[in-house]
Amino acid sequence: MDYSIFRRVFKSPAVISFIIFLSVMGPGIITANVDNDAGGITTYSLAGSQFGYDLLWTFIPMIIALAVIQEMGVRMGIVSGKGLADLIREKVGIKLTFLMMVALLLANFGNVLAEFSGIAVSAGIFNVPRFIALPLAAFFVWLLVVKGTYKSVEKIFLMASALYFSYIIAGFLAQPDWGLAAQSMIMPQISLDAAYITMVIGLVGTTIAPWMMFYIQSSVVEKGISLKNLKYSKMDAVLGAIVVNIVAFFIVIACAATIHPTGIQVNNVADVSMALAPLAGQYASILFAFGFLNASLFAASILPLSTAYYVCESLGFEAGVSKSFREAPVFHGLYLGLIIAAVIIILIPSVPLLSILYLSQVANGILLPFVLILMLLIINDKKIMGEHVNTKLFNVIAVATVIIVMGLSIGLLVTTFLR
Amino acid sequence: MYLSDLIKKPVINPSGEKIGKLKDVIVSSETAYPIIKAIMVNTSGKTVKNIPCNYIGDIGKKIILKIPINDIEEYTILNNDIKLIHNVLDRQVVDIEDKKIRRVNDLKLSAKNGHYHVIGVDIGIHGILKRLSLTRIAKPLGIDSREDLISWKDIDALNSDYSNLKLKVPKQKLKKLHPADIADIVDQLGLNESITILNSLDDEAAADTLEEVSPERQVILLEGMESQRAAELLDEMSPDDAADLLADLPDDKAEELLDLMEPEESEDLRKLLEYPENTAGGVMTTEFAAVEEGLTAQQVLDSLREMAKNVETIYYVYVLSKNGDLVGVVSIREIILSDPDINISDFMQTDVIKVDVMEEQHEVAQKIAKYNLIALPVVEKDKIRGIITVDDAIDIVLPTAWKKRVPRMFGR
Repeated sequence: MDYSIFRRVFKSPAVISFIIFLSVMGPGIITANVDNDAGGITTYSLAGSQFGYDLLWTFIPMIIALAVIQEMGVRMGIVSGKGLADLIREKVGIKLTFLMMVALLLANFGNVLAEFSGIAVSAGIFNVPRFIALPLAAFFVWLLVVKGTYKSVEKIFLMASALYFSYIIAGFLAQPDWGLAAQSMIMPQISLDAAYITMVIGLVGTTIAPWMMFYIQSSVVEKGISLKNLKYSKMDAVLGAIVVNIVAFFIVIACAATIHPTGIQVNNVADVSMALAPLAGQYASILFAFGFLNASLFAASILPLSTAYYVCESLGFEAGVSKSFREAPVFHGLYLGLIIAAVIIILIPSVPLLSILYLSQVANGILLPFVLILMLLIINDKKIMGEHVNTKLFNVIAVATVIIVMGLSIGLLVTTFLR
Repeated sequence: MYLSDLIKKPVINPSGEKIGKLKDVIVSSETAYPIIKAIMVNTSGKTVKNIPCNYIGDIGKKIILKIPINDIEEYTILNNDIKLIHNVLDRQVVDIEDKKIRRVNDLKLSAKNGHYHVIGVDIGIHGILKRLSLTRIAKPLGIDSREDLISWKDIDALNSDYSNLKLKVPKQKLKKLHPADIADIVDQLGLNESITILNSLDDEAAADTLEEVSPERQVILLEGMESQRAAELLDEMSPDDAADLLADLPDDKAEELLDLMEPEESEDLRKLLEYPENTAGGVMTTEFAAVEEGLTAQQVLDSLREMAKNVETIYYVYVLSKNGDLVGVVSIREIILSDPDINISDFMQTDVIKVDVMEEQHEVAQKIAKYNLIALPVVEKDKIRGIITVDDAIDIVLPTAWKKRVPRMFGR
């Protein structure tokens, strides 16, 4: 048999590019998908249930902002070969870094709590008691980290990312009014109603989170992508931003099509899943709940560990899962502490979960502009980035994002205090 | 005294008039414990002045100069001077003693013989608390208040400025480490710093280091450095390692580097690259000692001296027939123990244990283990093509990633 045809196919520039892209792919898509975590899915489903199709327009500016910010992180990681926390320490010294790390630790602990409460909620939907589900989940997270290497874990995460398609299917099963959806995307109905603005803040806050900037950069560095493959990594980052927003879009659509018209009051994902069953069919409901479990577990595996890494490495403590507790006490203390504390808090009956989750989103929102400003300072530094400093367009988009996010965060604070 | 005590300290004229604040401290890197040469001062007039150290009168709450600043001749910064705050504080350094990367939380300074010296870097929690002015909480929290110092002579600074990438920073201390230890450090660093380190080593040391670096990083490093230098390193690497590395590179890059290499070496490599990666041909090296049959033991020893430079192991000498077939093997021990005038054909092992070029690599490793060999010849139709040494066999069974066993996942 003549194999030369295959050989020619594999030597064609397009195919080679695609293969390189597949090998580089990962950090961007995984980061973006972790972002569709328990807090994200809750926010999106509430947005759809309460406001119908009205908020769909927000996804277009969010895709642009997220793509630009993720691309910046990827570029910084590849060019400097260092994580964001490292660069911040070298750029502004220890005091600001320390404050930043304390804030990140608090915000991320809130997020970890959100993930474990997400696990508890989805376990509830499947009728598994939470005192069984939570320790099991914590064990799974521990196992993944202790037994995994970056390569194997990345494969598991990429597979988990594929499971987000369950939301797209659920969105179709809900048979939405596509025309109306398209119309609200292109012609936004902006309202100045407090509830509406709070929801916009929630959407932005959950889609662009501070920890993502740290995570994407570290995973690019860890993956060791060379400068030559920068363009493929950029594609990965942009694709990730698009994929995450498409998934979020379908979550909003599913809830907008089914729950919003009925006026049923939903407060969390369990309500949403229950409400979906009679309206969009049992499969949509199960798919929805399953996606939620996947998302919570996914983020619960990544957040605590990455948090421990950034804090330790930027402050100069020993870090690494391969090191013993005695060798790296701060690292292990933080990592296990985050997981165990989260599990214990979620297991306490009548804990005010909603306020905790809400506060963690506030912490995220307040921290984000500072992280972005530091990123901008670093990425425009010729000494660090060489010829790869930001272009004007990128600076404009990033600065606009900073201003908008800051404005929204301040707005959130004001509305919180006025309430 | 610590460097952190000096940061932003006011600098004043003998008359008591404030001139500005300390911006940085300049030391000369020439001595084992660098001497402070000058201080950089951010003056109130928004200019930066470098004041030589001998004009500094007293360092207390303020830095008092001996003569007015306008009468001072400024210090000119030399090429290998180090700015402590800008280049060292908060940066990563290599801890030569423990072969680890550390972050500098503070620097310890000390006065000796009328000079101020840097004596060490603080890498501990105490250093962090001090920088944060939080030393008071150390005791209540039960944090050990002792400093965690590494002596300056046991560290090597990493200059990672992207723009200075092409500068060859002399890394005298790092050079003293074993290549495998340098490789461990390179594995922990970013691309720029790794390349800076490799560029500071001579070709042979850099090649030895590169051989020990994990395979994924080898590719990144080679792609990141200048092609000419990359080709030189490949020349120096043992052919089997170089071939493995080339096989992992994109085809066009591999071709470019092969063209830049010495013709002799690249020819060998091209041959090696034709064998599949996990076969005997794929893991063997082409550098081995061989002689024609009919020589005496003395003649073999003499020719070994000539060959030894270019071969990986000289313990076995392979004996070839007139038409190049592998017909026997003698160990160097047998040659030395034999009468110098005896023909090697009379005492060589004719029943040579060998493998075919296409043999699966794990079979190869097992054969080496079974017969307790130091090297195993690889043949293609009775012609010897290369050898596989026992250390390469260990690499087959215990790949580099396993040997190091660092399941790092997210951070670095």
